[in-house]
Order: sequence, then C-alpha cells, then structure tokens
Amino acid sequence: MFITAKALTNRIITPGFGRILLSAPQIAEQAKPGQFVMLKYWRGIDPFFMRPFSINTVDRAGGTLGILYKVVGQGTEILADLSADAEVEILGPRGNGFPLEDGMTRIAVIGRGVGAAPMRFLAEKARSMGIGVRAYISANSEEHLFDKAAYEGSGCTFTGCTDPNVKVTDFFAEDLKKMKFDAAYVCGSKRLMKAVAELSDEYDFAGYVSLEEHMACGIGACKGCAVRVNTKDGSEAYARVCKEGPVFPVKRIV
Amino acid sequence: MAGIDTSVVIGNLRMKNPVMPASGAYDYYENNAGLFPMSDLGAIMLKSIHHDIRPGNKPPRIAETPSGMLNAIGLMGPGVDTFIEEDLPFLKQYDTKIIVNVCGHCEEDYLTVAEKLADTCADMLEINISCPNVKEGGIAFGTDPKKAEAVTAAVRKIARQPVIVKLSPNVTDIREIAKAVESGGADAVSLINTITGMKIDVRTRRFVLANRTGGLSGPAIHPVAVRMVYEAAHAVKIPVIGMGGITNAYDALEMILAGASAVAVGSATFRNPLAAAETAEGIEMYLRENEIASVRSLIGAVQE
Ligand SMILES: Cc1cc2nc3c(=O)[nH]c(=O)nc-3n(C[C@H](O)[C@H](O)[C@H](O)COP(=O)(O)OP(=O)(O)OC[C@H]3O[C@@H](n4cnc5c(N)ncnc54)[C@H](O)[C@@H]3O)c2cc1C
Ligand SMILES: Cc1cc2nc3c(=O)[nH]c(=O)nc-3n(C[C@H](O)[C@H](O)[C@H](O)COP(=O)(O)O)c2cc1C
Ligand code: FES
Repeated sequence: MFITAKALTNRIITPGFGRILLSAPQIAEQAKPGQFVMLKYWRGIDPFFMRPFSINTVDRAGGTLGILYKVVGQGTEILADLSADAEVEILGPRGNGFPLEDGMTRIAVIGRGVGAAPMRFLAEKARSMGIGVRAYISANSEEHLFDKAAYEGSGCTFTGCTDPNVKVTDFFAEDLKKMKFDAAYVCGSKRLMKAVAELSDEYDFAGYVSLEEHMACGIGACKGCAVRVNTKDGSEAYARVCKEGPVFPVKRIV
Repeated sequence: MAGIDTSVVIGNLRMKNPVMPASGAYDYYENNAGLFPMSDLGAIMLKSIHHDIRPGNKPPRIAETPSGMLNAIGLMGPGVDTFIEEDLPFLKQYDTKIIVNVCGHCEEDYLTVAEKLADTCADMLEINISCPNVKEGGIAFGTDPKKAEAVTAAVRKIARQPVIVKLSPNVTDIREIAKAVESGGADAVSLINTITGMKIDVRTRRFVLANRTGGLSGPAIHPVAVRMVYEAAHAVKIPVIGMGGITNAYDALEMILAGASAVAVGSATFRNPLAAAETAEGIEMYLRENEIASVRSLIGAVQE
C-alpha cells in the first residue's frame, strides 16, 4: 500500500530520539509485528530514498502507527523537525513479520536501544494472544530503555541492562535453565544475535532475528538490501532484507 | 481534444504509450507491490538475465548520493531457464509488451540466452553491453565499437525478436558506439545505463560499496542522458529509447524532444513506486493540454 498519511504527534523523547504517531488506518489494519514501513516526509528529490522504519506500535481501533526513531543523519534530522500535522507518504507494511503461533506459551524478545523498536509491537501482540513474554532489553542508559513502561504495562517480565560489561542475553541464558521458551526474537545488535544463535544450539527454541540493511525500494525490486545467507553446500547466496526478511531464522544468518 | 495518440513504434513493436520501467529498477515480474496494473505501461523492461544463476555482489550494494544513487547489484538473477519457466508465464497474462534484457561475460553467453528466448513470448530483447558492475562483464563490449558491433551482429543472427542494444555512457563518443551497433543490425538503441562512480566514507575511510565502484543513476544524471540521447538520435536512423533520471512526464518529454521514441523510468520508482504510471499519464495530459494529436510528432522536435 502506498498512501499519504497525517502525523498526529511528533516529539523528541530524549535528546536524539523521537516518537512519531501516524494516522494510517489501512496500514494499521494489516500490519504484523516485525514488518516495517518506508517513509517520505519531505518535498523534492533530496534525500533521494524513502527511509525504512520498524513499526513500534499499532492501534487498530484508533487507526494509528507509532515509530520510534534515532536521529543519525539528514533523513532522521528532517523527521525530528517535522511538525505535528505534517503529511507523510507511507509505503507498507512491508516484509515478513515475526512468526507467532497460537500454541506458544512463552517467548523471549531481545533487543538493544532503538533497534528494539519492533519488539514492543511483537510483545503486545503476543500478550493479547495469552503468550507469556520476557523482554531483555539493553541500552546505554536508563532513559534509552524506551518502552520499559509499555512492556510492564502489558504484563511482560522486563529485564533492562545498561551495564556495558554485561550482555542482556546472559539474563535470558539464566532463565533458560529454569523455564521453557518456545521462541526468542532478537534485533538491534550483531552481538545479541550471535548469543541467541548459540543458545538455540543448547536449548530447544526457535530463534529469529530482524535485520537492517540500506534500502532503495523496500519492495524487493532493486536487490540492494542483500544479506549473505547460509546455504547447505556453503555456496554464495543472498536474501533481500525487505522481501525475504527483515525477519530471518537466526540459523540462516549466523 | 479527442483521440489523443500516445502509441509509439520500436522495431516491429507498437507500444500503447512510450513509458516503461528501466531494466533492474523495478521487477514488475515479481509484481512486487501491486500498486498499479502493468498494463498501464507501454512495455516492461526486465532485469538482466544471464545464462546461469547469479548470486550478485557482496553488500553494501547501494548508496544514496545527491539527487541519485550508486548501485553495484552485480546483476543478481535467477538465470534464463528459471526465468522462462517461472517468470515469463506470469508476465504473459498482462496486456503489455515484454522486453527481456540479456547479459553475458562473453559472446557465447549472450547467444545462449538469446537462443533460449527465441521461442518464448518475449516481444523484444535488450542487449546489455554496458553494465559497469560485473568485473568480467559487459563493459568490454560497450566501450569498444568493434566489439559492440560484433556482439550485436551475432545476437541479431540468432534472435527471433527485434534487438535493442543498451549503451554505456562511459565512453568518449556515444555516437560512434551507436553507429557501430546500428551497422551490427540493432533494431533500436537504449541509453543511458549508469555512469560509473565511487563513494568513500570519510569517517571510516572505507569504500561505501563493497564493489568499490557503482553505477550512478537518478535525477543527477538526467542532463547527461538528455545530451547523449540527442547525440545518438542524430547519429543513427533506428529508434532511440531514452532513460536516465526520469522522474515525471516533463523529464520524459524532454528525452522525447531530444530524440527518444520511448522512455524508461528507473531509480525514480524507488522513491515513488507510481513514477512510471504517473509519467505515462502525465504525457497524455500534456498532449491534451497542448492540443498535440500524437506523441510521435514530438520525437526529436526540439528547436533552437
Ligand atoms: C527494516 C528496517 C527497520 C528500521 N527501523 C528503525 C526504527 O524503528 N527506528 C530507527 O530509528 N531506525 C530504524 N532503521 C534505521 C533507519 O532506516 C536509518 O537510521 C535511517 O534510514 C537513517 O537515515 P538518515 O538520513 O538519518 O541517515 P544517513 O546516514 O544520512 O542516511 C544515508 C543513507 O543510509 C541509509 N541508512 C543509514 N543508516 C541505516 C540503517 N541503520 N539501516 C538502513 N539504512 C540506513 C539511509 O536510509 C540513507 O539511504 C531501520 C532500518 C531498516 C532497514
Ligand atoms: C538498482 C539498479 C539496478 C539496475 N540493473 C540493471 C540491469 O540489470 N540491467 C541493465 O541493463 N540496467 C540496469 N540498471 C540501469 C537502469 O536500467 C538505467 O539504465 C539507469 O539506472 C538510468 O536510469 P535511471 O536514472 O532512471 O535509474 C539498473 C539500475 C539500478 C538503479
Ligand atoms: S530495498 Fe530494494 S530490494 Fe530490498
């Protein structure tokens, strides 16, 4: 879907990070956790590409999408300056989301900083299906544990980690000794992804990772967003993050 | 004004309008976003097809640049057999013409693909002698008039469909190459392919693209493309298909006035997935507003 939506609110939540809420009922209706949208919210041809963002929140009844963003360059600077009632072109929802099944009893969501953005939508969806959720989120500091209150509010067990010398997956590893997880979902850091892949060798759960790669089209056309994927015979093969991903079985990547 | 005629003719092919997606820039054959019907376009130019499966280059493969982009995709593709089996039957159902772009590392590769496509529903072949990305790839043909002529003649002998030869802008004189492929028997030329560029990240002091170089496309190259289309159109008698930085009907009409009989929209589709369809619609509107009966009367009609 390619639509022009209105922003409802846009505010900086802590220096360098913001949240924008978009009114897009058609997209909210379809969106699945782990999917992303391509956004354009400026006139003219510079910057040239639309910008990809994960869906952080969906309110179907209210017809809104929430994006959590970090200001890193020209495109996100324009986003931070966007007035509350601005027009935003949205292409989406795109990509394959996180597999979530009815019979699941407990899952882990793992992420770092703003990279954990899609995990909140996943956690809230899982909770609404009656699945137990443990969130393991790391960040540089307490105020960068962005969705802590939301996780706790929806009944997830939240573990935040701001100590640079501790991997947040160590807490997950401890819990794995005590309880069974059906699946673990990770994004936002290569280090965390590797840790989840290793743990999935030792314990019996399905591991999924959401990846980011530079994108031109976001719909599988340009083949620009390639990532190397494992093959049985070790031959060179790539998958498109926007089309085959952004969510992959962690074993396909690590 | 009723009865506006937007149709154009390339080789023996009549297209309902002069607008196509450029090769590799929008894989309609995967019907990606399904945002508008492919039948809105005069034809579809498909991504380069090799004789075998191509994994493509290592990432990063793309980079944004001022008013454009660099790409080094490395012609990732399924290979001609899979293409004929899986993609062509799907494409056939649409009311538009199918132009299959053919690539190779050596003359035999081109011939293998052209031969396999001979009995298919492909309406035309576009021979990519210009892709700058694959190290051992087409570049040698595209920059040397003799080689360009030879490969054109060889493909022409085997192909059942009209043959478009796609030219590289990375040459000293585009007219020379255009004339050479015309002598080789090309039914049309298309240009421009991407202009070779490079981007370096000053913070990390590394190449931005794993391939080091990439092809520049988008609005940044449009004036170069218009000039080259103009030069080529004056050098040869066969039709010219213009591309390079087209984002809307005005850019397309500029190409047509410079001498293009048809146009292709590439990178612009990435930032506006409706760009090609809007371009086709915009051309018709321009004709209506200016009371011009046929788009063909605008081909090469630029005045001093
Ligand atoms: C599937 C996906 C989901 C994402 N979700 C979020 C999110 O929820 N919140 C958030 O803040 N960011 C997210 N990102 C990253 C976000 O797209 C980039 O931070 C943003 O494009 C940077 O644009 P810029 O112009 O500010 O930066 P610049 O560095 O100036 O951008 C230059 C070019 O690089 C690209 N680029 C730069 N960083 C990235 C990156 N990390 N990933 C992909 N492309 C990049 C830009 O799109 C642009 O084409 C996501 C990326 C992907 C691929
Ligand atoms: C991502 C990308 C992939 C491309 N792939 C091909 C290709 O496979 N074969 C080809 O002949 N040209 C390819 N091209 C070149 C385009 O068809 C076109 O000639 C060029 O991009 C200029 O047009 P534009 O400025 O509208 O993009 C590609 C261009 C881009 C941006
Ligand atoms: S961004 Fe174009 S194929 Fe993924």
